[in-house]
Amino acid sequence: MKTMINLTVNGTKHEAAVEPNRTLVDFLRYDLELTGTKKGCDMGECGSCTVILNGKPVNSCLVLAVQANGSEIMTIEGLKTAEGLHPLQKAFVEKGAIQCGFCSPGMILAANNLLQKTPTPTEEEIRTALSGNLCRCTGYQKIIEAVMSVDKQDIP
Amino acid sequence: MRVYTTIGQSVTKVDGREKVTGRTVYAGDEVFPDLLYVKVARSDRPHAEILEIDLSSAKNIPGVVGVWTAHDLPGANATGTRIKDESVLCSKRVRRVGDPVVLIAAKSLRAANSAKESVSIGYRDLPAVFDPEEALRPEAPRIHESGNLLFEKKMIKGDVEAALSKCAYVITNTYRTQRIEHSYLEPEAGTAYMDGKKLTVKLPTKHAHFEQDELAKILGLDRKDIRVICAPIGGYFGDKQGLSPGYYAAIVTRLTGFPAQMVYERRESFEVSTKRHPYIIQMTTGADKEGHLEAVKVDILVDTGAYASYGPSIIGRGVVHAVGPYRVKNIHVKGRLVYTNNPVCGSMRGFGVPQVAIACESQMDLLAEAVGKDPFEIRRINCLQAGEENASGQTLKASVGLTECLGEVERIQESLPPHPREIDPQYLTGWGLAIIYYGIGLTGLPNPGVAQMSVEPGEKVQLCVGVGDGGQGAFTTLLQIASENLGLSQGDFNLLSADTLTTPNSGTSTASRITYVVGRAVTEACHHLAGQVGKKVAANWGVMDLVFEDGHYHCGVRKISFREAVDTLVNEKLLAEGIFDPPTTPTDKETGLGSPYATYAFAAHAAQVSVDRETGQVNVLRIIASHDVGKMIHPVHVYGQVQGGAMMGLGYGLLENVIVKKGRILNPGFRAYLIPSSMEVPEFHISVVECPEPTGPYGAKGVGEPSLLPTAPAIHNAVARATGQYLFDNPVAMEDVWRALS
Repeated sequence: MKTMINLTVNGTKHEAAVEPNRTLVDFLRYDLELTGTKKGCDMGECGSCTVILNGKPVNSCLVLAVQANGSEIMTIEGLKTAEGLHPLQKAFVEKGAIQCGFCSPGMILAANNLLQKTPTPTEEEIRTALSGNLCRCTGYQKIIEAVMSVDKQDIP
Repeated sequence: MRVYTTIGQSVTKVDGREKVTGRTVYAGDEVFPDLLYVKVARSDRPHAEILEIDLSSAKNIPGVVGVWTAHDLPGANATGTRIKDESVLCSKRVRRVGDPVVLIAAKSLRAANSAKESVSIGYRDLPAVFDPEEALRPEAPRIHESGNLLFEKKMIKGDVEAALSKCAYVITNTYRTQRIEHSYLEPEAGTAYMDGKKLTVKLPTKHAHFEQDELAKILGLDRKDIRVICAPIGGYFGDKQGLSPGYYAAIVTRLTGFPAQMVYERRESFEVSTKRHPYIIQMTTGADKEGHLEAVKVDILVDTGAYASYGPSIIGRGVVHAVGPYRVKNIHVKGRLVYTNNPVCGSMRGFGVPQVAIACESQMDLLAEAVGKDPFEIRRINCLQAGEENASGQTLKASVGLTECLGEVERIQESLPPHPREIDPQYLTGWGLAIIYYGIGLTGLPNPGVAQMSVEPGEKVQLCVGVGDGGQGAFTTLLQIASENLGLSQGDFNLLSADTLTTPNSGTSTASRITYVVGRAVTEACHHLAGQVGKKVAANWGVMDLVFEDGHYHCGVRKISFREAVDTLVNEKLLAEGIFDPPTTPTDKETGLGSPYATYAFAAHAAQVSVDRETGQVNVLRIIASHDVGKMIHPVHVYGQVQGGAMMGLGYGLLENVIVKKGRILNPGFRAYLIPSSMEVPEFHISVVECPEPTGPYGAKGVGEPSLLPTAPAIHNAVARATGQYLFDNPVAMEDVWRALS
C-alpha cells in the first residue's frame, strides 16, 4: 500500500507514491536517482547519507520518505552557486579534504549546515559538528582545515 | 637542484570536482531500467555439512527472478587471490559464518531480501576450531584437506642461539594483536550488464585484470568476452579484490541476460570481507652492553580464518619485516599461517607488518630502558644506513633516510611547548617513539608496472594505466609524472584507467607500488613516446642529433615543444609502452634471504598520550610523523596519506577490535566497532624527508602503507612511559590500562 508524499528537493517539488517503509535515502537514490547521497551503513552510524531536512542535517537512512512529506530537502546536488562550486566544495578540493570521496557529500552538507549557523566556528566546534560523519581516508585534519579556510563572506 | 614544473606541486586533484559535487558514479550508483537486485543467503554456522537446501518458498515470492545454488553455476566453483580454496557458492560444507550458499536475484531489493530470508538450509554441525594453537594439534578438526597449517615461512641468518647466549641483555615477550576491519565507507558493490556480447562488470577493485581472469573461470566464458571496469573506489585500504558483489552480479547477468547489481549491507561487509590478521608473536631481542642488537628471534603464529586469501603473501612480508629497520647479524624468524573457522583475514594496509612493528618497537623501548639509553639513542645506534645490510641480507644502496626521520621527530618534539595535560593532576602523560621500514612492491616477485600512451595531432595525449585510484590521488600523481616528462599539464591528457578493454595490466594496487612502479612505467612510456616524436622532428629538420629537455626538442637554436611537434610534424597516431619491473630476487626457500624489494620507505613517529588516572582512558594528544618518501610528487596528497594513515594507526592501537566468539563477529557495525572520528584527531606535526630513490620516478618511493605503521607502536611506548607498565596486547584497551594502574 503506497502513500502519496509531496516534498521539495533542491528547490524542485516532487509528488510521489512511496512504500511506507521506503527510507528517505532510498527514495532519493532510487526514485529520484539523486545518487550523490551515499549509503554507507543504512543504520545511522556513518553519516554518509547526511542530507539537510528543513534546515537540519539528518541521516537520511533513519528517516522514512513518508516522514519527509511536506518538507524541504537539500542534497549534495543542490549545493552550488551561480558561479559553480560552492566555497566549501572548492575548499575541500584545494585543501585535500577529499580522498575516496564517499563520505564527502555528507561531510560537506554537515559542514555547510554548521557554517550557516556558526559562520566562524572554532576547531572544536567543527570537530563536534562533524563527529557523526565518519571518514576513513583523510584522518579528518584536512577536512577541518578546509572548513576553517572558508571565508564567511563567500558563503551564499 | 633541478626545478620542476609540476613535480612537488599540489596540483588540483583530477577527480576532486566530481567527488565534491556528488557526481562520481560508484558501482552501487549505477542505474539501469531492468536492473535485478542480487542477494546471497549465507551460512550462520562456523563449520557444518549442508544437508538440504529448500528454495521453494523463496522462488514463489513475487518479483523473484532466480534462486540458484552451486549446481547452477556456469563455471568453476573455486576462487581465491592466492589459493583457490573458496567456493563461490558452497554445496557440501561451510567453513565459516557468512559462507555463501544461495544466490538470489529479484526485480526489487525488497523481494530479494524476502527471498533471502525464506531460504531454508539444513545443516549438520561439524566440530570447529577457533584458536590457531588448537588448530595445529593433531586431533583438531581439519578445515581443508591439506591440513590446518597453510603456510610456513622462515628467515635464518647467522647463529641466533649462540649469539643470544653471549648477549648482555636478552628480552623475551609475547605480543598479541587483534583482527581489524578495513572500514572503507563504501560497502563493496558491483554492477554487471551485457554490452553487446561482452559481459561487463563495474566494481571497485585493486586489480581489474585479476578479476577478469577469475571471472572467466567462474562464468565459464573466454576472458575476451568479459570486460572488467574498475569503478571509482570508495576506499579499499588493501581490500576489494576477489569474490565480491561484482562477481555475484556477473553470475546473475550470465544466467539471466539482465543487468544486475549487488551492494553489501554493512553487516555483511563486516562478516564477509577480510580482516587484518591477528598475530601471536614471541620475540627475543639480544644486545651487547651498549645496546647494539646482536640477535633477534621471532616466532609468529597467524590465524588466517577459514580461507587463505592473501595470507601466504602477508606472512611472507611479515617475516621479512619482523626484525624492523635494524642492523642485526643473527636472526631466526618463523611464521606459520593457520586455518581456523574464524572470519577470513586478508590484505590490509601494512600487509602483515603493523603487527610485527608493535612487537619490534616495544622490544626496542624495553631494551633502551634496560641499557639506560633514551629511545632515540637506542634506535640511532642500531638503525640501517645506506650501504648496510638489512635482515634479509640485502644491501640498501641508496635512499635510506631513517636517521634523518629520527632527527626530525626529535627536533620537533624538543621544540613543542608542554601540553596543558602535562600539568593536569588528573592525567599521566608520556611520549612514545617508533620507527619502521617498508618494502615497496611485491615481496621477491616480478611485479611489472605497465603504462601505454598514444598521441595524434590535435588530440589530447592518451595515458592508459591498469590501476584505479583508491582516493590517495594515484591518478593525479601519474598525470604529474607524465606532465613533467613531456612538458605538458594535467589538462593535456586523457587518462584511461583500470579497464580490461582499454588499458594494460599494470599489476595490483597494493604494496604502495603505484607511484614507484607504475609511475616509473609512465616515465618509461613518456621517454619512448618522446623518442618517436623526436624522430619525426629530426627527419623534418634534417638533423641527426636532437635533445629533448623541458618539454622541447632542441637542436642548436632551433626549438619546438612536444605539443607543437605532434600537431605539426606527426601525421599518424603514435603509440608507446613503458614497463618497469623493480629489480628484486626471490627470497631463498630455506633461509628466506634475498633482495625482496627494490626500495624501502622509512618513517619515525612519536606520539604523546595522556592517561586518565581514574579510568585508564588513553588520549593521543600529539603525533609527530616523519617520512622518507624519496621525493614528494604531490605534497598535499603525501600529507593526506600520513594523516589518514596515522589516524588508522591510532584506531589500530587504541580503539578497533573485531570481537569474534565461536566464529561469529559480535560487533559487525560502526556502533560497536569504533573507528576514529573527528573527535580523536590529535595535534599533527609532519616532516617529510626526501632521500631520492634512483630507480623511482623523480626519486619517489611510496607512502600509503608506511604512514600507518609506526603509530600504534608509538602509542604503546607512550602509554608505557606514562604509566610505567608495558602492555603486550593490541589494542591498548582502557580496561587493561586501568588494571595496570590499579
